[in-house]
Amino acid sequence: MSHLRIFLALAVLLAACGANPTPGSTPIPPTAPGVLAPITTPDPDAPVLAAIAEQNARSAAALALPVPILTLDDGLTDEQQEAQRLAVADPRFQRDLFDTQSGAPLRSEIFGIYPWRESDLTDSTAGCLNGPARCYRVEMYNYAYNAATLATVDVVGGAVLAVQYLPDTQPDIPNYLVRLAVEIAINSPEVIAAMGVQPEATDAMMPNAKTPLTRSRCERSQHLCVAPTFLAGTRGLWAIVDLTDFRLVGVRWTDMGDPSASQPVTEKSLQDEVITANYCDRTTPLDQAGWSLDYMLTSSDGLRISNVRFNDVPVLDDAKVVDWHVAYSESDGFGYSDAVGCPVFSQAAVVAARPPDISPIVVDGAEVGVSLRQDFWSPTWPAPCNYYYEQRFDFYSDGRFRVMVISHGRGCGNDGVYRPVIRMAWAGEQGRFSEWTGTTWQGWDQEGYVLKGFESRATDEGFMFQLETEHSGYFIEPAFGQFDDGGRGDNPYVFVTRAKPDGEEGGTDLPTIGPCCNTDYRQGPEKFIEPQPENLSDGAPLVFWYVPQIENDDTPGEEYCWAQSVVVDGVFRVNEYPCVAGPMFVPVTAAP
Amino acid sequence: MLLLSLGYWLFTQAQAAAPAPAGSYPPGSANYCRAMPAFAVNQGFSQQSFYSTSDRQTVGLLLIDGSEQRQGATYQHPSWSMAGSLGPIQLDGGGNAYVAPVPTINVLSNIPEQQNTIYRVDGTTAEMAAYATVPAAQIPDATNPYGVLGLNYDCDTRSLYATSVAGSTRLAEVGQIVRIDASGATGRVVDQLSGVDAIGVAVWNGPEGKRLLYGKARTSEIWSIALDGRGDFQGEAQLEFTLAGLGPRGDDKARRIVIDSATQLTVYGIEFSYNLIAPSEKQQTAYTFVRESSSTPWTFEPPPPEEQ
Repeated sequence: MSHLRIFLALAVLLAACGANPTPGSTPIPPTAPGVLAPITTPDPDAPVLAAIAEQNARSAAALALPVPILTLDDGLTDEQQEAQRLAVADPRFQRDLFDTQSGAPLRSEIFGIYPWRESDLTDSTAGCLNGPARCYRVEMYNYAYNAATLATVDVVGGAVLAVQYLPDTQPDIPNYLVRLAVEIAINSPEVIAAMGVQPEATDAMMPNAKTPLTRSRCERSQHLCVAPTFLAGTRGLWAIVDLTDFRLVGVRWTDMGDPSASQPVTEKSLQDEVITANYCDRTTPLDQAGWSLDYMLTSSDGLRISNVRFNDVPVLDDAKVVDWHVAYSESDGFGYSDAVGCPVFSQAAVVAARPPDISPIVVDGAEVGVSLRQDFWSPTWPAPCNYYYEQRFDFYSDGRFRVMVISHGRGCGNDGVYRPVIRMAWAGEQGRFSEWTGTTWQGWDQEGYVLKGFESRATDEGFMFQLETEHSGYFIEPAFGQFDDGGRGDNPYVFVTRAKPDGEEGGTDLPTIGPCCNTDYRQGPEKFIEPQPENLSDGAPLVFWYVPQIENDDTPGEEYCWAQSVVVDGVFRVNEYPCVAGPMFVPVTAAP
Repeated sequence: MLLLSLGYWLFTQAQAAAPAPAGSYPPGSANYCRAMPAFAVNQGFSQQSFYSTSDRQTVGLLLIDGSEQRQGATYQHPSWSMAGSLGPIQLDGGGNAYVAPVPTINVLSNIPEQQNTIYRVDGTTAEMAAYATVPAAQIPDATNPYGVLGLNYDCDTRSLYATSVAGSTRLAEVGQIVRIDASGATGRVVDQLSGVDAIGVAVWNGPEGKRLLYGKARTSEIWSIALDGRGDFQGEAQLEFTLAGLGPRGDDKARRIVIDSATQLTVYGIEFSYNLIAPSEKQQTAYTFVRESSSTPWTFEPPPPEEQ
């Protein structure tokens, strides 16, 4: 059979390449990942490209008009101008100019006015075929809805013959936006770094094409994106430019002679590729503020930190978020159990679309530590039943650290309770775990769990537990609203189990371990305790599990674990109301 | 006598290995014999009833009556949730249904080792039981929770085609497409196409015989391969068309291929990245392709714009 021949040929080919083929497998050649541009909050004092400032001013002026459409001005014939005037005045053409909820104007822009083509023929436009009508096609793009509206206009009869609405469609962009995209690209540090020198605008050019742009998309943001392409020998540098936000998304080299180069480089493909190559396939070291650790993205346990040391003293073997459980109280048994992790080839339901972020912790103008954070998104957040979770580790230079889990909503309803499952394996033998009884520290001599509700007892400093090993000792301070981060308290279940060798009981990547909707202690870790809790009094290494319970709220002014789309400058942005949970760990020696 | 038997055996082998004879089957879909299960008829379910594996409140398979009279009537046999969350569904001429597990959002109810098991729901008793297992080319790991993703039943050859990506990793495509002899009470894998990760699959009866269309899982391409008189794979696979650049996402994978007629098919495309993302509103887009004759390529027929 011919498959046998294919297999033999492949086997020979792979052997020649020095690979180790699996029978019946097709190897996927690795490619060099591109570079993602950082997304930063615009600095109002930072210089803005003149071309961007000019375009922003034109857009703002258009949004203030009674009919908020930015029209084409330059290089139009009288008939094109008339076609545009008639289209803009037509109520059908004005269908999506305002947000139906707030009434705010949405950014709409005429991208082109072209002579009508026979391929545009419909019943409504039959008059354009044989005169006397002289017809034009007017194309408008709506940035908020990422949609096109097309009008067929007869300038002789002075009538709009047809208006069509095309969702998820981006018409060809006008020349001034082509120039703006190239301008953004050649001024971006990532393009300059990749080219080794700042390219000229004229360097952007696709071979055998009249345009400097290559087809691209921003599938996740649903923004208008194009890719100015710069040639260097046989390679081409794709620079994906977001024309909704006027920023560079990222860059990637492709071999122009490679047939696979015909697959466009897009926002999602670039993000997935960069994150996978840099953070899913390997660990990255971090050494700041006295802390050293490794971090990487997992298949289903979010961002995992490991080999955590403070001033070279071992603290944690590893820490991660195993699951996010969300239950909706008004619908019995309704909810989701989400794993978070890598964007491709993973068991994650909510995935990383940006790389991890490292930033200093600044208090009163002074750097007091370092924060490591990772975001995970559903594709259409903040649409209902989509989620945005954040994982954060704050390490302070005085030895404290905090493990945080944050929900940015939005979920399926306003009756949701989030229960993320944090797992922390402590470094070292001689593990001892004790709980504050109100008067003294009571040691746990076997595996167990406890609910630390809002009425639970804590020391004057807020400590409820103490965990010691041969290396160090930490007080554990659950959140009850004292961290000045908007958090309203964790109401957590706390579990302590014996660490097991060879990655058992969660040492390796754990699949989803608990269902969505249990409202009691059964969140997953109990599987490693029941039916017979193991002894803890012999100083075994310990695993600490922490499951906060966070209720969302959509009450205006009181929103919590919530998100809401709002119109800002003619496009949809998100108002986020994050709920922050997670305990602080305070070194015993540093405690007052 | 021995010579006669040998001659007959050689003749039948040659016949089976030959391409399915042109024009010998009704043109278009080879899954034309779908029959309503007898147990459903006996329970009063109408001909508008259908199976669903996508009800968010129900794990497994659900029978739903879509008629106006009994709208909302549902039935689930106790065995229908035994395999966890399910994906593709196919019916044969006897009213039996074939289903396969596909994890949704998480793997809580889907045991990784059983994602390559195909189940059959008996059309008479409604009992669901394991029917066939596609042997995985490689032991699946935590980076790929999927096994069987697509099924298609060929009424002419009583073959069930299954696509599986079990064991595939980011750097090795070890999926396969298998033909299962579905003529008996248990299924048997009788032919396979290896090294291909695919999702949607459909048998198309064309003027030159049968071809199996399949949508690749790693790219947006739809390929096909000829089938012989028995339904086994024959010759080289060929690229038919691609969904790349089409629709709201531009990189959809073909989740399901439906043969509408001898010259038209609809591909249902979804985002697929070997993870468990599951947005609430199913991000699925239907793409229609047509062709004038077997010698012309399939061309995309864009949906008519919404006129205001």
